[in-house]
Amino acid sequence: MAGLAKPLLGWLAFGVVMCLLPAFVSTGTVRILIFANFLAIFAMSWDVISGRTGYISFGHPFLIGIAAYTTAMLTYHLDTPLWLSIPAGVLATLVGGTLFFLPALRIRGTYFALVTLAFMELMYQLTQVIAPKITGGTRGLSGIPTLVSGAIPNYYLTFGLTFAIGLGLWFVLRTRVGAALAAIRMDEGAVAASGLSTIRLKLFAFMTSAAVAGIGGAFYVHYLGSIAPRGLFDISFLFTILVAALLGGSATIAGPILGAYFLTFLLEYLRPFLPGPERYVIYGTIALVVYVLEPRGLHAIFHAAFRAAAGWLLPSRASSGGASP
Amino acid sequence: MNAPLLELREVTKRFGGLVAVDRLSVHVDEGESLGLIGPNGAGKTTAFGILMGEQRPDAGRVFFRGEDVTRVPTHRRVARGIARTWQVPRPFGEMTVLDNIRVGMMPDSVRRLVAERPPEGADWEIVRSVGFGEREAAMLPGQLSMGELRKLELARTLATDPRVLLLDEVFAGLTRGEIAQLSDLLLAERKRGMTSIIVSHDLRSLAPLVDRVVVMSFGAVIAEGGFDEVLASPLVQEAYLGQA
Repeated sequence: MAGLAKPLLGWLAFGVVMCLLPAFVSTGTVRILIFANFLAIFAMSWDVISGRTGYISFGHPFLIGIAAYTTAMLTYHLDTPLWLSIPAGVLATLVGGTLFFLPALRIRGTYFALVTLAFMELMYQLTQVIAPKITGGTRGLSGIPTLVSGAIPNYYLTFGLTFAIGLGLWFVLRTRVGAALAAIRMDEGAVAASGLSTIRLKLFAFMTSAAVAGIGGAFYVHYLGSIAPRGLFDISFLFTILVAALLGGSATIAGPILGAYFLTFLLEYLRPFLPGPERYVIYGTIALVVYVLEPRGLHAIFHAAFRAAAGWLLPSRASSGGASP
Repeated sequence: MNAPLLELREVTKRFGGLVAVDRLSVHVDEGESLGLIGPNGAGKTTAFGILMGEQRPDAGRVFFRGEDVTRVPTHRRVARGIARTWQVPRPFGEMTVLDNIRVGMMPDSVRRLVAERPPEGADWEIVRSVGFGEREAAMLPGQLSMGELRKLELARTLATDPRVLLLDEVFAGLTRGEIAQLSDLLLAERKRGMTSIIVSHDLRSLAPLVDRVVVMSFGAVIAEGGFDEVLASPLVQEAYLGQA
């Protein structure tokens, strides 16, 4: 348990700071934080598949969209209570996750990434073409019930989700299953030759990722109160998720959270100067610079800075390491 | 009479128009050490791939302890006791030597991987069994010499608790000193009763390690028997040196 104390303290500190934050920042900033929390959930979900196993997913909005559309349609058309529609959405995402997993049985690398991209595109077209009366077609659905109202309750709800998902994933992935998934990224054939079923491990990663994407997607739509295919199955939404995970530091839990907060605030603070899509060029450049300087992302930079500061303040303790989240 | 421990029976494998393995029948008995030799492109590595379940044969069967395992996936064959190393070592590059070895010891169950703590001490036993110490255990594969990489692969293979080792080009790229070290390790395993099939082009180093040799050329067996007897065969000399 000794090795757990430090990271758990880190989680506690993160939780306390984030819970106190609304008392010190404006409502506008709290609203930005809500989006950052959702992005953190999506980035963590992406990272479970792509950061851990190396199966790069370009189709994560497909998974997010399944949950979002399922719960939106259930509540909009059938007045299904949220306590039922949200789990139904997550369950539907797990089914979608199984479909998503099938190509991973045969292909990987660029081919897998392209197939997943096709999943997203397919979903985009399906929501518009198949039964537009139910899905809302191109315009989507609006007037979907929200869970709570107001910036602060929504902030605590989304942060609670982010924190619980992050902590849960950290607890699971710090075990040997995390190492096994990382080994798949490094050499899948060697994992099989070590006696491990790569199919089972990948299925676990895909289902975990789908569950997280589903939870995020379902809560997202009940925060926004509306859903439209253009906003969800969009390449810039997809790349925001990817960049958040990579910029923060893939194959970690803290990385995607950190990347999501950094990126959301960066985009928001660039908005007054660059209201159009050109601000994506700036964030892309910044992401590239960070990635070139430190491919392990902001997480590694912060970790190194923290260790340096600790070494400066507490020279005798600095040498003792510990797993960071 | 007992069935061979591991056997390829009339196995054929084609890659497009190329017949890599042609009605190949090879077996190794329990406790035996078999040398599998032949010129480049003879089909030795393909035979290993088929034995491990990494490649499906187009025809023929694979037997382990008399049981047909032709359709058994790789990880289940490893669980039964078949393990291999590669011609070019394939360590997990971002993991330390110790963590690489620990992958070989992992149970094939997600639930157990999450819920159970790794067995203490057994990993270090394997680390030490191949001559590594604490310094090497903490190193990344990129920091190791070719000899150490081959030891790491052997260690990770031993971590799966194998009954038969398939060692592909085990001496390739090694210095004489490294070959001597690795030979000692393999002899120690042999003394413990380990069954092995060893592929090597370094026949001088292979000779003291094997009981029997099978020579392959163009995917088929062209000679089989004791080391000296097989090397004296005109067919083998022709396969290696070409026709005069």
